[in-house]
This record gives sequence, C-alpha cells and structure tokens, in this order.
Amino acid sequence: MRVLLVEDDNELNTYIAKGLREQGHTVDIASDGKDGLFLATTENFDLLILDRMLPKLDGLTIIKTLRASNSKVPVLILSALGEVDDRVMGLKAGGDDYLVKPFAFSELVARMDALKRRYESGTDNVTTRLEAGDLVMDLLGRKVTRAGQKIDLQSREFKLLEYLVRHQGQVVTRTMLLENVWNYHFDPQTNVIDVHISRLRSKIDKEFDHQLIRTVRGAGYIVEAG
Amino acid sequence: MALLFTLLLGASVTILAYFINQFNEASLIREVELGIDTNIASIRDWVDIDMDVDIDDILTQLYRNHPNTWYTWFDPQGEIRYGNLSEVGQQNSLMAEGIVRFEILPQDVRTPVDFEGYRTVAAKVHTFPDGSRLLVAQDIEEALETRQRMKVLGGITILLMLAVIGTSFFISNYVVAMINNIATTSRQIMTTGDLSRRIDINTKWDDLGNLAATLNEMLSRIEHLMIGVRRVSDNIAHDLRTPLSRLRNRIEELDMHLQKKGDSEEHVFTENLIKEADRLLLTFNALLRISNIESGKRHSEFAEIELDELVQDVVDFYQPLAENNGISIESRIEASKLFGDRDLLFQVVANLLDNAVKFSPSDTVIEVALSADSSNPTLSVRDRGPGISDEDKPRVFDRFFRTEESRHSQGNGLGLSLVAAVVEMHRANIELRDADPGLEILIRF
Repeated sequence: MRVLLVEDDNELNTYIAKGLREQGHTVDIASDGKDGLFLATTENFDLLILDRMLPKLDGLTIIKTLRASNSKVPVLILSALGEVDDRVMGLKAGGDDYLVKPFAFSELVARMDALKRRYESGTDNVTTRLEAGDLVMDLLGRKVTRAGQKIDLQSREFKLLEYLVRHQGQVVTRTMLLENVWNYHFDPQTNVIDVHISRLRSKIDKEFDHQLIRTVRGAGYIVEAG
Repeated sequence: MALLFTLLLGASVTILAYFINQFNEASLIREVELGIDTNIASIRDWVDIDMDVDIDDILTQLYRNHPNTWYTWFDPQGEIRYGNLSEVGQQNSLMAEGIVRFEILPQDVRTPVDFEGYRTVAAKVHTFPDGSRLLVAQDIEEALETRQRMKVLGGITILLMLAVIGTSFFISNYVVAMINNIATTSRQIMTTGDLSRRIDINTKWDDLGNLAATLNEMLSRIEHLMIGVRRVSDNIAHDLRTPLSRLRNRIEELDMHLQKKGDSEEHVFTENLIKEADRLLLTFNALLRISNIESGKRHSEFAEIELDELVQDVVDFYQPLAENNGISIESRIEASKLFGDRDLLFQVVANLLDNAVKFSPSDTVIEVALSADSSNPTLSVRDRGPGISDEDKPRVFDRFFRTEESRHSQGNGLGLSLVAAVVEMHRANIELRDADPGLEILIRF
C-alpha cells in the first residue's frame, strides 16, 4: 500500500514508517498539517494515517477538506484524545477509523488492513455467502457448514466467525472484535474474548485437520484458509 | 405562606380599626354623659336643698353661663314650664342607654341664638320625685366634628398600613422569586455539569444583585479549577502515556527482532515484558477514565438505552468464561429503559460480573437480576464467593484497594472505583449486601 503518514511526533513517525516499510508498504511522511494536505491532494495514496493534533492545520480540518473535494481515500485517525466524544467527532468529520495513542503497532496494522479491505470491497457490496477454505457461511439463512458438515452456532458465535472470515488473511485484534461483534468500547479485565474464541474453535476447528483460527501472539486472531 | 401572613395582618388591622372606632364612640358618649350628669346633679342639689327654689332662676343662670347647654323643665303634667329649649325635636335617635340625640333649630329656642341652621345635641332626662322632669341637652357638634376628623385620619392610617402590608407582600414575592431563580439555575448547572453558565439576575436590588454576583464569581472559580484539573489530566494523558507507549513499542521491536532470530526462550521474556507494559497502560487508561468521569468530562454521551438488552449482552459475554470455571449465570431481566452512557454502563456491569466470576467457587451460581419497578431500574448481581467483610465494605470503591482474598488474582483494584464513578454520574446509588454466603451488589437508578 502507498501510505501517507501525517504526524508531528518525529520519533513516532519514524517508528511507524519503519514498521510499515518492513511490511512492504510505501510510506510518505509529512510533519505538519499544511504539508500533509498538500501531499494528500496532489498524490495518490491508498491510505492516510493522520494525527488529530498537528501544527499549521489540524487533522480534522484536513479530513473535512478532503471529503469536501470528493476524496474517498480511507483515513485512520491517531489521537491522544481517547474519549468517545472525540472518537465520534473524528468519525463524523469523515475519518474511517480511530486509534487512541498509545497503541500497539500490531493494532495499527490490523486496522489498516481492515480499512483497505473495506475500501476495496466497497460498502454497498452485499454478500450473502462467505467462504474460508472448506468453511461456508450462509449469511441469509445463518447456517455454517464445513466440509459439508452442518455446524450449530449460537447467534453471537456466528457474528464472531463472520467478522473473522470477512477479514480472513488479516490480523483481527481483540479491540476490533469488541467494537464490531459486541458493539461496545470497553476494557475487559480478563481474557473473556479468548474464551469465546476457544468455544468457536471447539465447534469449527476441533474435528478438522486444518485450524482455521490461529492466534497471533500479542496481537489477536487470524483466519487463514490454509 | 406570604399570602397567609398578609391576610392575617390585613385582618388584624381591620379588627383593630373596628375596635378603635368603637372605643372612640364610647368615649365620646361618656364625655357627653359626664357633662350632662354634672349639670343635672347641680340642679338636683339645688332642688334637694330647697324645694321652693326658683327653678327658672337657676336654669336661667345656668344657660347663661353655659352657652352650649339647653334645658327644659316639664311639670308633673308634662307641660314645659322653664328652660330655654321650648321644642324637643320629633326626630331623635338613641345614642346610648338613656341618652337621646336630636337636632335643635333656632325656633326651638326661647333665648337668642348665635347659630344658624341647627345644632346637634345629646340629651338626658332626669325625673324628680314629684314627677317633674328635667331635660338637659348638650351641644355635641364640636365633638362630632372631632370624631369625624379622627375617623378620617384613622381611615387614612389604615389604608397606609394596608398599603405597606400589600407592598411587603409583593416585595417578599419578588425576593422569593429571585431566590428561586438562583436555586433553579444552580440546580441546572449541577445537573448538566455545564460550569460555564452563570446566574442571570437583572435587579435593582443591591443585596440580591450582590448575591448573584458573588455566586457567579464562585462558579467562575470552580470552572477554572475544573479546567485546571482537566488540563492536568489531559497533560498526564499526553505526557505520561506517550513515553509509556514508546517503552512498550521498543519492547515490541525487541520482541520482533528476537522472533526473527528464532530465539524462543528470550522471546518469552520480551513477551512477558510486553504483557506487563500493557497491564500498566490499561491501569493508566482506567485511572484516566475514572478521573474524566468524576470531573464531568463525559456528560454529553447520554442517550436512551435499553438497559435489559445491555445487561443481557454482558451476561452472554461472560457466559463462556463462567462455564469454563464451572459457574452458571442465572438471569431474571425485565425490560427497562434508562437515560445513560451505554459504554460506561456496559463496563460497570462487566466489572461486576468479572468480579463475580473471579471470586465464585466452581459449582455455584451467579444471579443477575434487573427489575423495572416504579420506573427506577434496579440491578443486582449476586455471587457465592468469599464476600466482603464489613470493615472492607466502605473501602472497596477506593482506587487500587484490594481485599486480602483478591490480592493474588488478576486485576488492578480500579474496577469498583470505575463502577462508583459511573454510578455517581448517573445519579444512582450502589449498595453492598452480604449474601450469606457471598456478596450481592445492588445498583438503584
């Protein structure tokens, strides 16, 4: 991906850029809002990573300007302001996702991939069927089969699997799961989500050779078709 | 209250006026009567001493000396014999017992008169043993005039008093209205948490204006303090969180480096380091969040939420973990709505259930109930764990407090602090009860 990173904290943007380049992305850096907007409008990028607090021109204004000129490039907002009101404001301004500093690098990567996937497939794409390897999900009938065998899933388990499969090949963090499958923003004390995943595994992975759901240490989970 | 007071005052003033009037009237009559009686007494004395005294002479002397008194002597047959009053007017009225009031016209008087029109008199009649009667009439014109003047003055005074009462009624109403204005505005400020509002009083009354100004100053001061507090906590967010996360990121770098090297043993060390750093950051975030809630920073996210759905979501969320630990969760949830913050309330219920699962021994039941009576939902979470001792009960909501039993389990001691802050924010109240065995936590919204 061609990524534009607009961040005035030099240590942070070096760190992020290095990490992303190691993953194979091309990264351009701007250290203030004006440069950032200039680059965003004159060059083509697949993704924008934008800090909210920037010198010369703040992040939200950049997004609003871009959206006003019909740019649909996905924007991931970084911010030290972490309250829900701030998040809502950022998304309302036209941002696509919101990460609170400090964040784990793996979280950043996972969300970037999710954004790219969403952008590529388009939001009005209505699929009724998802596949991952020999796993088939019928989204209308809410049925799951693997290698032809029917699997009974509870409603929440279905939603969980659906999200993982939609993002197959990408790391999905626990926070992303909380936000998208359970629709809440909060910090669980214990690893409650892990238990849900292990339940799911026992239903769709246990009796099969290939484990679809893999744990990525320190990051989250990933569905790989194998 | 003020109205009652005013009416009572008005009534007492009216009663007072009435009695004063009566008193005046009585006093007038007494005075007149005294004058007449004195006259009668002196004539009687003369007659008693000497039966053959010349009554005409006496009367003539008297009415010459007392120009305002008229006399009539009736003989036992009722004929007028002596005195200067020849006609007793037909029109008369009873002033008091034995005293009659009537008017004298010039033609009624035998002697030359110095008045025009008429004079009003009060008269008494004394009957002598032989049947003769003496009538003494005293001019009360002046007295009447005086009394009239007094009446008018009295009336004016009463009107003034009523005016004063009326005015004070309105004043007190005005002041009370202003005070209520202040109270309402203050309450609004407290409810909305909007410290930028001020009390708006447009009044010519210095005292009230002064009060409002002073209160507004106080509000300004509080607002400044709050801004200061929030700035400090925001600065903490920026200045402390960032180095902490930088630390974590560097460890992550090291970890990835070691992963690449394939050194699995050292990788475990860094993995644990990352976990520690994450735990630290989590605690830090929780602390910051609690501080934000307490300082009222999060007020604007309130909305109507389906509380029953939320509680059910949390129960579903913790079900697998509970089952893994051999604990079952039973729920009795009634439909109810609440105006509140969805994410924070989820966190609250989750913290309570998290604790319950953490401390319940296996093969026990956690009971979750949401009842919706009288439009005030009540949430109850009951476990059969070790419970909380009475001396610990008031302290569990303190930051970082952990009971003896919980010291070894996972957690940072902030779970219940957050619960307390959110409960306060929703103007609800929380109660800890012994469940014998175990603990029941009740939140009443």
